[in-house]
Amino acid sequence: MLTRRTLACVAAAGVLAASVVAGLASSEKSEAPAAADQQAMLAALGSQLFFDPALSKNGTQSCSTCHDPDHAFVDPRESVAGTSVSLGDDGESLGDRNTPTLGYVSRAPSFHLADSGEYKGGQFWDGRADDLTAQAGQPMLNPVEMGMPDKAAVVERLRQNVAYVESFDRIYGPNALGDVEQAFNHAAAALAAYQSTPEFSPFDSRFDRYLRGEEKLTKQEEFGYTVYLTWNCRLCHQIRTQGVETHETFTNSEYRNIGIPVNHEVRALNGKGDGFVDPGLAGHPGLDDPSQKGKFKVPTLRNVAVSGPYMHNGVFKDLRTAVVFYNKYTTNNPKWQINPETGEAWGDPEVPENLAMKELRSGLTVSDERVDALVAFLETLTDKRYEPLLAEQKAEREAARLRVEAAN
Amino acid sequence: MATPRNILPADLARLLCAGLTCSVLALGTAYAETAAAPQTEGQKQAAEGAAKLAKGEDDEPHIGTMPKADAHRVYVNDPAHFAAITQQFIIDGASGNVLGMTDGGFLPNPVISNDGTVIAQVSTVFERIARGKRTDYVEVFDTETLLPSADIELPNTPRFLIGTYPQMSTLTPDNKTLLFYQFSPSPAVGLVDLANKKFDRMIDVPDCYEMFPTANDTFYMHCRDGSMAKVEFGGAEPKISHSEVFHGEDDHLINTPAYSMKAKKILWPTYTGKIYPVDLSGDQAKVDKAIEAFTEAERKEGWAPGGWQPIAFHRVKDRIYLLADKREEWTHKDPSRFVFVIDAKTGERVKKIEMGHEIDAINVSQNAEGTLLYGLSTGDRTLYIYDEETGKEVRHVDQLGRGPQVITVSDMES
Repeated sequence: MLTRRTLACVAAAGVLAASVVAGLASSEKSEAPAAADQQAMLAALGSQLFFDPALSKNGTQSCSTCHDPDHAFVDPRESVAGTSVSLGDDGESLGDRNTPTLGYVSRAPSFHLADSGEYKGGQFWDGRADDLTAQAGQPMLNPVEMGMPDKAAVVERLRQNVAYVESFDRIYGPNALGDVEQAFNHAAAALAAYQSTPEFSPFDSRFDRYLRGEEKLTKQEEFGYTVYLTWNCRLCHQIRTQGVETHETFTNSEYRNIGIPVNHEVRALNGKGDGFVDPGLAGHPGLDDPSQKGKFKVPTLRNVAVSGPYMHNGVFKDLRTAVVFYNKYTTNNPKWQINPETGEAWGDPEVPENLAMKELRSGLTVSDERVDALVAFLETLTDKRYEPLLAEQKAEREAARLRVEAAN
Repeated sequence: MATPRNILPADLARLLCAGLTCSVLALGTAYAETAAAPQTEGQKQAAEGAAKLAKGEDDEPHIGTMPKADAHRVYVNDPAHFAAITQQFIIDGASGNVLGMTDGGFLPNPVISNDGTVIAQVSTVFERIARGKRTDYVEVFDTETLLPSADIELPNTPRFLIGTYPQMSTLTPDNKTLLFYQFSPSPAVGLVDLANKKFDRMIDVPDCYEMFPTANDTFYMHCRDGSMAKVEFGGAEPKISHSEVFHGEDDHLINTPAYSMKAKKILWPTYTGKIYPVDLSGDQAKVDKAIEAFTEAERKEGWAPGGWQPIAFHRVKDRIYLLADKREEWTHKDPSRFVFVIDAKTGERVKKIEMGHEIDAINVSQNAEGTLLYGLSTGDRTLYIYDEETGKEVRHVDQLGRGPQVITVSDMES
């Protein structure tokens, strides 16, 4: 869809490359490389924009500041709120939701009501952007994020950069930055194009290599995969309900309320206070539907091991905690009613309505061995480029464990 | 329930009795056949009935009672291929007569004490046959009348609903506590106080399966990590300890091992016919050297255990009986046609018995003399009874429900 839309823009601007013209004259077949060229140019422009702090009010942050490519496109920066939520360009404002990975986000369908009766696709935790293009412009104009006052200001920043002027003109035709609305949308499309490149979705994790027969999983990882496939995980964290998906993103892109408690620490710091209730999907524009309250998009589990903290509000620091949380709904053992990070009860759901009980109440508690196995499996979903990060994390965890052991 | 092939006048009273919801179906004796005897039970009773008539004796209809259990008492449970309602047949192995029956709910676990004084089951019913409110309960039967002597409800429907594994429900040596397994939401063992006829409590256990009691407050389990767990539940909190891991991850132990509580010994076969003797007589489970049921050459030919309950152990004779056949890998639930008899002490093969039928479950009577080998065919719905010494089939009992799978015997020998 994005490709088609981009092509339409390109055609309208009448700047088809020579090869495209030749292609149109002969057959549709040779159009592809030209389209790919256009897409590549757009993605290259998107790449420039992605790393450019000029798109923030004070020039202190770019997309990549919060979506750091070295950290699975999440925000590694520690603030007063830890890494649960991100700090804006003003150096003070804190978001209310955790910065999600951009890895594999291009694989999500556009927002729609699925045959299942559930809303599906879109971007943001609450799906309020229909697709990546719709999403890309929003952080620039969000006062608690990049903080630009309006689209005109963004386009003005672009105009000040000769390289942008050249790139936009090359792709969209002369004076491509002339019209603010159009130029802003083109910038968003470029960012979306960049996020649609294999750099964001390489499918080169250990799990992919295992599926291709290039590597073996350990017994524990295999066990984790078996648990994942047979327990309730796969009811939401799989593209398809059945059949084979070769490019699995480990989300059905639907929305669920799993009863996450408020991240009180964040709410106290970002000024929203404890009275505030995050409506989730019910806050999606035009979706005045109380039955969607508290639902959030099922996130991809790719790179999950290196993109903590977890859940829409970053309330759990450790992946193991995020896995164990699900035991809350299945256990009769008091041990699993405790958040291991706080030593206290999990806390009431922020939105107690619309809980996905059909899926959550599986009737089976995940034992410690299975939690470990699930974590081991989830770690295999780490892209190759982040494997050193994973190794580092594991080493740190092991060191911490040894310290605790030594202390005891 | 089967109908006698020829209903004779003398049996009418018994039929009437059966119609009056008797739990003891004495009529069952009418159709059991005895290959060795020239006269069948039916013929014998016909002759007796005719003689009574000739003498002008009236036949007083009555509810029959069960004779006292002996070493040849054998219980055949019919899970009926997951039907909501099931039956257990109580059979005299020596005569091949069905002595009585008990009704059960969904996938009940029969529990029979070694001295034959407790016949119980852990069962499940629903208020609308297979739907509606579920009730799990323990039912104890009077061994003479088969009337329920206790009906103990289990709170929160804790039973593990699974194809019947004998060791998923069991009794402590003093017959005072019944143990049953809970799989969901996490492994646990339920304690039922039979002495006071009440549910006691659930004990959380690690990721382990099946129960093998050794004392009135102690049982062992087999754990996913390949160890045995010892669970001592006498105190306020259960004490749980683990043995060494005794088998590899790819060494698959079957669901239905043989356990002799009196010998405190489990004989636990793998899919390939390796048998682990697990000694529970010490402080912790100890696994003796594994016995290979088959030679390397036989394994190559495809010999492997198979069936539902493919192993039995005779405590006094110290013999292992393994149901096996030549088979493809992953056909381990299919029936077999041979029983390999192995000296448990030496691991040497004593003999190989050709069963002559497709057998799914075996067991042996525990008496030292006149030992009977039982072979149950789920497909034939028949219990074939063999002389353990000669290996010859001596009688059989047919029409045992819809898919009988489990044979239980008592070990009454001292």
